[in-house]
Amino acid sequence: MIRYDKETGTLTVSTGEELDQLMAEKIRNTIDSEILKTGAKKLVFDMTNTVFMDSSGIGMLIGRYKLMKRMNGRVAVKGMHENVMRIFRMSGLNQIINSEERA
Amino acid sequence: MTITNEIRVDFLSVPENESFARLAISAFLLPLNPTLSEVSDVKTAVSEAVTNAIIHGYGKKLGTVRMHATLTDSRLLTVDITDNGRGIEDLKQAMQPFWTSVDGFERSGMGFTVMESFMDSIDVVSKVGAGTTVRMYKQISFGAACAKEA
Repeated sequence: MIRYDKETGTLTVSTGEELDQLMAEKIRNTIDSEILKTGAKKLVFDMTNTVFMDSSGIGMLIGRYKLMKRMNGRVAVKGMHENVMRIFRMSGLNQIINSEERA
Repeated sequence: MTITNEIRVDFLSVPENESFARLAISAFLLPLNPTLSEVSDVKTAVSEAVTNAIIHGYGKKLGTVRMHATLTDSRLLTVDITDNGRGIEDLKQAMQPFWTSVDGFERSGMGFTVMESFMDSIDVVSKVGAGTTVRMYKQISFGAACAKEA
């Protein structure tokens, strides 16, 4: 699910339960076309519903990060579960993508 | 060490079967009453190995991926993920963190690193043109099982 807030220029993507290769392939192009269509300045991945992520999910995040960087935008993730956070940290993405710990 | 349980599952190399493999290995572990993090570690490692078999082993072709898992009376889990795909030319290179053979396709190159980190150890046997087997080991703790009995 994707929604765009015009006032803040923020595109928010709610990722599904399992962010694996299948899901990454499904959402990748949709997100990119929304970024290009809206000219969003900030991309937020709301991962509250995501209980599983593997390195294909990491690859998808890296790709979107690169695109936003090219467009001088920012990327953030929020609502990350602990086991999802582990692989996120392992990838080193936590050093370039801002993340808010799950409350 | 005696084998107490064993499964063999053959499935087609389509991405839908990544989640099937994760569910199957979780169900296989369930009677041991493993901790949530043990289940999550094994699921993630299996997901990586199966994704590798589908994307790198078979690529655009379809083939059979086999998951073979055993458990021993000392709670040692062994999982083999086997494909009969193209095989890995340079295993040492393939296992380096962030290295990927399909640059530009948004592969993170982390698959083997994740398997090595989330399991106790892994062995990879591969032959060009014949396929790849990834064998992964994990000792399942008595932690959650004991807590339940207490």
